[in-house]
Amino acid sequence: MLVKTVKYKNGLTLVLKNCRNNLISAIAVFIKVGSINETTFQSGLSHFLEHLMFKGSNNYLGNSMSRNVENMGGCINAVTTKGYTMYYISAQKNKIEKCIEMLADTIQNPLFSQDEIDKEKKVVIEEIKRYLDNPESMLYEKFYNTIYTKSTLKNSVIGKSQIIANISRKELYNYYKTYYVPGNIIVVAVGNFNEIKVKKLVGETFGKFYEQSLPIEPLIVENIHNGEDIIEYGNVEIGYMLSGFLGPNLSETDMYIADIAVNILGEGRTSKLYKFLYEKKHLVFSIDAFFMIERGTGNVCIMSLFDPKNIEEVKNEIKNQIQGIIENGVTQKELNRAKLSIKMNLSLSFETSIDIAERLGYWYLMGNPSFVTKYVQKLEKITIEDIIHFFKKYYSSKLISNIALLPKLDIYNNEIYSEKKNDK
Amino acid sequence: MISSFILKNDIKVIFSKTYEVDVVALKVFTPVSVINESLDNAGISYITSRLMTRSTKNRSNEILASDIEDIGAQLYSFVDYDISGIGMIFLCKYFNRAVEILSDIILNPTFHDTELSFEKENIIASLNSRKDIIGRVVYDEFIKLFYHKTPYAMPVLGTIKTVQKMNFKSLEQWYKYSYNSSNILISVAGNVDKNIVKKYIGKYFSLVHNGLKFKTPIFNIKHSKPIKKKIYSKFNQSYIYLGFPAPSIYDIDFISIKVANIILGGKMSSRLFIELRENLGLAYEVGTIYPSRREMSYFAIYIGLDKENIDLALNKINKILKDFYTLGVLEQELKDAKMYIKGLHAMNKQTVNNQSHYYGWLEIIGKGHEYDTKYLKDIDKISTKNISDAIGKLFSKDSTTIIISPHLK
Repeated sequence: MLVKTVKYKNGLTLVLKNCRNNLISAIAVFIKVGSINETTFQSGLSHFLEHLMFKGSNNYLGNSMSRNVENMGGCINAVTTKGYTMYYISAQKNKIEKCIEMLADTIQNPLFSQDEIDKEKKVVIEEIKRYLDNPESMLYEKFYNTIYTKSTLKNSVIGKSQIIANISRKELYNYYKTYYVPGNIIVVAVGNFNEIKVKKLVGETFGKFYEQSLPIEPLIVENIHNGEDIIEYGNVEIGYMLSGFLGPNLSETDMYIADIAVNILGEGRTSKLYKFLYEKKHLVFSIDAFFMIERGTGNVCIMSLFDPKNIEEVKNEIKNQIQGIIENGVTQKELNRAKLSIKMNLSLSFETSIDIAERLGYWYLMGNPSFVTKYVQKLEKITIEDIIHFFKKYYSSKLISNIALLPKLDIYNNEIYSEKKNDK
Repeated sequence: MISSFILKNDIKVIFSKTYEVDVVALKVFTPVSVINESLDNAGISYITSRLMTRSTKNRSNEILASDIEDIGAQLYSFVDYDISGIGMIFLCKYFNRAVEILSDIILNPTFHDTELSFEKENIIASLNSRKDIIGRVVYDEFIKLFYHKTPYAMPVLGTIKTVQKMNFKSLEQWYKYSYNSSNILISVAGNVDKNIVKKYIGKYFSLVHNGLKFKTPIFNIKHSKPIKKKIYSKFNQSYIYLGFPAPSIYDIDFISIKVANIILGGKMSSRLFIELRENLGLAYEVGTIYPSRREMSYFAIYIGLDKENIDLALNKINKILKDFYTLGVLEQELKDAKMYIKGLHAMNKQTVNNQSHYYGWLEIIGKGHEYDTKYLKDIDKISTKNISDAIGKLFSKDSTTIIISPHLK
């Protein structure tokens, strides 16, 4: 994959990927800020800031930027994670220059009007409520808060309502000024465009941001510690559980092995967990494993849905399956299958301009730009011994945490009080 | 580049040639789906397709799973109100093997009792877990009241009662009706040579036998008066789902309402989004939805909000709808909406999965894949008057409103 980069004097990086056959182009702007940069009293600030960036800038007042994008047949959106914030526009291939201008103005010159801040607080508080109404989201919050104790990876992205409700414009602005600095920004352009023009335009817009010192890196590496078993009871109909343990750091080569190891453990119908807990013992309604790459220490997590009466057996069998890999290894066929599965997913992630932009931008931001290009080569070299070693190194029955959400014992969950009336 | 050809058993194959990425999406469609179900067998399309992906007469569950994942492929069933099917995504170099596996699934499924009872348990669990998501609770209640006792009134998964009743014999009959050569359509999208597609699809799918041809059921939904139902639930959030009877895909007003949907609530610069979210800060999630259906569809407004704002939101929604209905649409607004639809249309076709689904769907509903280009021309022809006329008819009909609110306790 031919990817070009330009480093501007102010520290900003541009990543270019020309795709001659793509009718759609994408611009993604990555800022190296997320919930890991927040203090306890700033919980949800990165996400709130992301919302406000669409609420007016010097040249695009109010919602005129999103309106402009949609009026030219494009889509605009943003996402905040623990480790980064991404703003993006997908549009027809000939609109890329306009998209760059708009995003540059938004990122460089946001207005943060008090009126917009007040209105957007209500929107975000509603988003928080919606998020916490979802059992899987609630579990995810609790899971991160358990397996990370010192690392700021435990911080919630969505944040807390009371903090958002009380945040001042000054706090918001200071946060923005600290993190939205050129050395902390990667711009990615993917599609069918004139590279020289794009490079020049990014230089004249993003390249003009004032150079500023980079913020201090938060504590993101987590030391190994024992896991916890937590059961919460709520208004849910079935059992939900996230089980997991700490994995390799972003900078470690084990990260490549993690993808394969976790695939063999719990991705697809031939995976260990699926075959045993779903097919053979019918203990779960669904089970999937993921390797969560994070800035800092990653984690292996397993999401299962089940009949609450099976919870102890599910926990035990998850442990048994991992222990089984450590003791008995995996077959060459399983290893080959996992490699192919990952290659397939990789191919699917290169179909759309925005997916390519997201993948490239992420790895550049994480300081490992060669990840995408060397990924397949690295995968090919992984052996059965690497897989066994991976689980030996990161897993033990003491290190795994299980966070479960089960139906309340004292309520009848189908209880719905309703009234029906006909309006004239 | 889209082309099509017919197999010797009359199965039509649509092929969309793509470039750049070496992946293929292959889907076998059938029009036999929820629309054909009754109150007694709701969910039969879903469970039939699900079980077909489990094993065949030639491959046990384990061997089938292994054969699929040995080539890095992904197999899935898809069931909606007007279409059902089974699809695979795989790397181009495995075209021959993937087509053979999918043809085995279509030609030789098995419906074991043990698999059936296990699948029933899973579907019932899925139906139960729907009650844990506010958006699903409100939607399920809406379709139940909106569509009365017609096939569109239930979730695609069916109901606990109907799923429990399913038996081996009924599934086998449903399979024979659904996946015979009189009803099947194959849609392929990917970076593969057309001759390869012809060769292997022809080799394996020409063996599919004919059978009973799909008949479009006709059902009449009578809305004699507005319906409004409030449900007190376990959620912290409240939710409003307000819908009107809307034209089917064959109706003259279909395109006009598609455009109206965008102007009212289909984008960030839509009227509802601007007023309810941007100006008033009432909601995070707000918009409109207008599904494309063979039979009567619905045009619905949805909003997740705080319970204190329910009345205010309902008043504002009514005002926005009334203004839309009485004052009409501005020329610029219409132009912008058309541009947005065209952009979205192109974006949605970036993946092989979406392409094979879209072209297959066009064929199944009888418009043909050629309609893809005509659709954009039809959008261009829409005038502000077309929208006013269509909206006038839409909003003169009785609405169905579901409101979910946190428990009184």
